[in-house]
Amino acid sequence: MRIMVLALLLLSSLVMRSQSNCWRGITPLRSTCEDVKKLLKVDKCIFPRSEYTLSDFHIMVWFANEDCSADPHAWRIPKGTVTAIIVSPRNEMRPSEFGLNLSKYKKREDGEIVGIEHYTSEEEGVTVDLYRGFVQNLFLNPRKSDENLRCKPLK
Amino acid sequence: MLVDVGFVDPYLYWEEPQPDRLQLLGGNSNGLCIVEGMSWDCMSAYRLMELNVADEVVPTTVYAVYKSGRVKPIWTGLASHDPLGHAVSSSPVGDPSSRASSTGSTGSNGHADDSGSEVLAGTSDSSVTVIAGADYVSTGPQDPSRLTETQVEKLRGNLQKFLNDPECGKFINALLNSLPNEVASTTKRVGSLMGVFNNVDHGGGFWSGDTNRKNALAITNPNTMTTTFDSQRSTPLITGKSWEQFGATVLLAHELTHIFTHSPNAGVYAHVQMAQAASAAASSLGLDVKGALMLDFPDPKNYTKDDDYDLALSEYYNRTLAYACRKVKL
Repeated sequence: MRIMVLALLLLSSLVMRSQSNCWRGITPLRSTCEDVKKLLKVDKCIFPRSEYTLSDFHIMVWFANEDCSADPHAWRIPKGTVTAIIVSPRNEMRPSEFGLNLSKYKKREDGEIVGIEHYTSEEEGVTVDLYRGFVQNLFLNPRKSDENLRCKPLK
Repeated sequence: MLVDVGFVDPYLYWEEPQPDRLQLLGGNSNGLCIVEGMSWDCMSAYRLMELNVADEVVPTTVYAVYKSGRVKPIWTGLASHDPLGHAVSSSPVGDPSSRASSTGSTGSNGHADDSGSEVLAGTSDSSVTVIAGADYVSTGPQDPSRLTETQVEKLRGNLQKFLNDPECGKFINALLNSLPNEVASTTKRVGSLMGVFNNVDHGGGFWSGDTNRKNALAITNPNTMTTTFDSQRSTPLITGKSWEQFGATVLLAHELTHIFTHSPNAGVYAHVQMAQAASAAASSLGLDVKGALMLDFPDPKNYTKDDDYDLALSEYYNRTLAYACRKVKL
């Protein structure tokens, strides 16, 4: 019985993880520039936006660079904290390879390019662009539950 | 009279079956036009169409896509298509023997109906369910018509002026060079935007129609190499006043950048890649768009909805390009 409970807990934590806005250990509003450097093996962060080309991904990372007095849209977090990540695979990858189950996401067709589909979970803070079933871009933003960390709520 | 129109590139019109859809996969790849079973040169065939004595059709296959992921062809025949390359069918699933007609409904991948209902694929396998409808309703432009030769030539001439202008042309080259060589299934093209323009012109062509999308001034279909300008908001700009033509040319460059790819039906560039490339090009050429336009690369924190952010990226590209090309006289 105890093993079953542990297994269930492990399974649920895996599901939670696969549905989260975390990628390779980098999570908006949690991770820092130091985390990014360590996890992506890059040597610097440029604020507010850093771009990295890795062997298998193009990455754009946004960092907190202003406080509430300068920008009401900012987050109440230390400067240098990651606020958003955009991941663009260089090769063909399915959503499942990111641990994403899009069945729970809201789908919309692109307004301009026939064939591009956008899947969004506002709860998770995740948007996925698909073209021909492959992930074109993965946008990882703060979760909806993180909105309380906003200096001033966005309308 | 029906004309089986060949395509410029063999990869056009090819589309991989996707899960849980009914698809019409059409197109031949031999580059020939067939009129009533005989090979014709395509120019003559198009002339017949202009004279309204011929209709364009494409060889089309309807695929049932099983929930298990298995794909099976269930109908093959000739079907008309709309300017976005969607096969147009009255009901290919329900009546496999009937040839598609131009009065039927249209879907993003050419589906049986727009009712939003589930339609049995009509095979003996009772587990087969084809989902048709809701997701595909009103995806294409309404009442499309081909741009006139005058309009197309105006677009071509103005794009050439952009490319010939030292500052603007340099910026466009830098922008195209800054696009990533590969993203997902997208591989960058070699050449210029005029090459893409010619591919569209000789492919599905340039059209005008109601895009049915609030933010879409134009729609591009990479599968058919078709660009449709919104008949109300964009088409009049093409031959309008100088500043209106400028806007239409920026819009044209925008659409062509989306499909500046080696195989447009395999991959496209999204707004985030285009905005990044515009930003990189501006930096490399010392264009101070922030100082001149108070234009920053859109920060996701300022947007609560993904489509708002996407629009901001799109506008960033347009405004940066417009600034770089501001000295071009049209």
